[in-house]
Amino acid sequence: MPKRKQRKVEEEDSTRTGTPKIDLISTLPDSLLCHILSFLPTRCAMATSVLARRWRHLWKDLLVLDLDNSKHSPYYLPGGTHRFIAFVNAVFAQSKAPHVKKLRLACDIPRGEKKTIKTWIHTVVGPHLQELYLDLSLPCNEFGNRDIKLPEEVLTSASLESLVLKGHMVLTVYDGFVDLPSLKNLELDLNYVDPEFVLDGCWALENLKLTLHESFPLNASDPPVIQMPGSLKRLTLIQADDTEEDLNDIEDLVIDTPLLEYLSITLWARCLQVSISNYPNMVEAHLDIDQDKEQVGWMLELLKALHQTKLLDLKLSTMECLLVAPAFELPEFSRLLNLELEIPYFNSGFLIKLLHNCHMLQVLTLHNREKVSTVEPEEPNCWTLPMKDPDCVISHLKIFEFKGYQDSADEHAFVAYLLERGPILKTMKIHAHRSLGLKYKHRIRQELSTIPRSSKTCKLKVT
Amino acid sequence: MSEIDMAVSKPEIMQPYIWLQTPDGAIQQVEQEIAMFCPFICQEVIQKGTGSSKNCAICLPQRVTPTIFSLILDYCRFHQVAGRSNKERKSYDEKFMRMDTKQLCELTSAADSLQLKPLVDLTSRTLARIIEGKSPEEIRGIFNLPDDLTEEEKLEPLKNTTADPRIRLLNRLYAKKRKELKERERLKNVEVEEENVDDRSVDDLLSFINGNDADPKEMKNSKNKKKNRRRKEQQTSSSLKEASELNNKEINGHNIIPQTDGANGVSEASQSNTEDSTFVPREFDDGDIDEDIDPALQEKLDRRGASEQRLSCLRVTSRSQVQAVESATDVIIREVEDFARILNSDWPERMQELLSLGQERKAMPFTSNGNSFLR
Repeated sequence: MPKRKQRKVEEEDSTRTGTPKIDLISTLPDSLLCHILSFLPTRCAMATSVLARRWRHLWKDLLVLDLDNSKHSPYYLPGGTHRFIAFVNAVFAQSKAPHVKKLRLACDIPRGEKKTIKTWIHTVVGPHLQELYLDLSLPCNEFGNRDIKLPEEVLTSASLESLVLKGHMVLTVYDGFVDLPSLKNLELDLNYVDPEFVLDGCWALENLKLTLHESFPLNASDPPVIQMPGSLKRLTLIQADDTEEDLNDIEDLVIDTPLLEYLSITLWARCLQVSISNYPNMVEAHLDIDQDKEQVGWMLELLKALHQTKLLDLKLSTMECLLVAPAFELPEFSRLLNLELEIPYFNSGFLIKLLHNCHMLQVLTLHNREKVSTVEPEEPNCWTLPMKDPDCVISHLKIFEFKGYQDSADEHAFVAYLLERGPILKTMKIHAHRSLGLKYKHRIRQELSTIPRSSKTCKLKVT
Repeated sequence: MSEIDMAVSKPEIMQPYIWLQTPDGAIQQVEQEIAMFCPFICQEVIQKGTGSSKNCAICLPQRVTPTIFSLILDYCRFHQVAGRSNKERKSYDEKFMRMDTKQLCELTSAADSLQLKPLVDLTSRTLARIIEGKSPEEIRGIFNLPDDLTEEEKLEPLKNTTADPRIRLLNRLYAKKRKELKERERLKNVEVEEENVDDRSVDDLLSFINGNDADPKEMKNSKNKKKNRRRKEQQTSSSLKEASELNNKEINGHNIIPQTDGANGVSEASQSNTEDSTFVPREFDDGDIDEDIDPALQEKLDRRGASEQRLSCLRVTSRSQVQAVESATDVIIREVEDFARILNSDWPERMQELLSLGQERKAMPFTSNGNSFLR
């Protein structure tokens, strides 16, 4: 859109006879121009050197390097990484910057170029480095040991604020420990990582995204422990799908983070002991957890601790575990605005109970993952009209979305109930299960449209 | 105490309005919370006490014109409210950025002079997005930039990323030589005559290769601009040293290997004062050149911190030059050897040390890829 606007301005300028065209951007000082270039990928910034005399050497003062050779990047250099390697060498050779503040490097490691890449990393690591982003996870055709050992200074840097490491890297510190006092953002997606080793030294950390691939820790004698830094505001813990062998049991998972605002866990390794604190600032929580019956207790505890959250997203495994857990009591979600559930089967009674505990709910999304049974006869309708309408249905529920609708009697009754009793309802989207044909969907639409809606502005959509 | 009295004694706290004067002379009042969102205004009020009345209105910087200032005030008015969510702020920013490029540039300039960093970042990002992905002609069109570079100058960035490994290698070797010269000059200031000899022979080298006039002055004046960063790197970890020592294994192999890092490792340990480059001239082997040379060379390049302009006087770019270079390579190599010997009398001893180190390393087990980096 901006491009069109500029053309318009240019046309206006040229129609005005005699108006000299002013160089718009040259009124800005060099430092500002350089600041603008720092938001560009380095290849693009380097290209600005042909724009005009003033721009010739501007890019060389850049303290920020964005070198991305991944396939989806518009600056990808096809035909082998050698062109990219030459390009980056040229950047380092020509740059006049006294140090590098931020480096973003995404490329693969071709045969024999490990040293080159190590050199680049060594060049950049120093007392001024604030952000380091390395994505060496792209497939490379080198066999044998292809891990690059990061220089130790990275893990003991006082200036580093953000560290993202993905792919074939190994972290070690020979003498001493990891010490990253300024680190606010950490993302680790390495083939092998020992979380405790790293997290110990990040005591001011605010954002953490940890992807576990291999079993840890290195020493069999050390128990596998993950202790989240207490300053954490955002936590994403993922157990990668591609783990060749199952992760060992996690002996101790400590999420004692009272400042936590965002939580996302995808995990099925057994956690023998989990410490959970209160999360009064919680805003958004996504849980995709699968645990054996013996360990499910901590999941219930976690759910209770999340009672202040504004958004709650429970995936199928989590719901399955919770529903079969003994003494599963739904906590009261006093601030919940947005609820998303993947349910293993539809049970209106359970849902109504849940709605009673979410007084402020505005958005409800259900995904019925039950397998459609074509042979068994339909179960008797277990819908019972609630004695008291849930507060949220009467006063707050605006958006309702139902995925995998199978048009069972129970489902139909529930949907009808919301239409009839929800005066605030604005949108209702029903996505029929994919096994239902077009004709059936049409019939559903007809049936639901005939139900009297208490909200005049409610839009019903059946797909 | 009347309100006016209180206002006089504590102007910055009691007054809800701040007086500001735009460069055209016009004076206006702005609510305090909104105006104080700009660090510049904040500073003026707190440090100099201005802005409390019409007479001592704060003079806004030249670049803050009235139209732009009202835009800035809109921005401040929205963002100084605490309770807004990140989503709201982002959405406002997106809408706020819808303006033509001229105004965008003016806004960036004004925000910069008022030290309003969030707005500077926002406008800079927007300008960057405008620049990104466009051809030079398009960008020149958008910003009305003068097309004042010669065709040759426009090709320079391309020249500087030559892909031919041989050319690059030579460029680097010459860069190394010149850097080395710088060090010699600095460290051996007493022996002036020797210096002159050195310079001249390098000059000969340069002109012989390139056929152009390598400006001797340029070499002498080179400023090691990257020194700060590199110096700290000299004290870096053992892993670098290990790497460089492992490099020495390839001595008996087929490449020109600068023993510099090995030499450095040794010399740093023994507190010697030189950064010797000790060439071990061998035949070129295309396949492995970059793998073994680049990192060490690059490290040396970075460490010594010669600026790139010096490199440009030695660009070997055309095919014919490459051929000339190839045939002259042996001659050069011999000259370089002689040259090195003149400069570095203990070179043979140094070589011996490194060779023996290399031999020790060779005994260590290799990984399958055969390159010297194990980790």
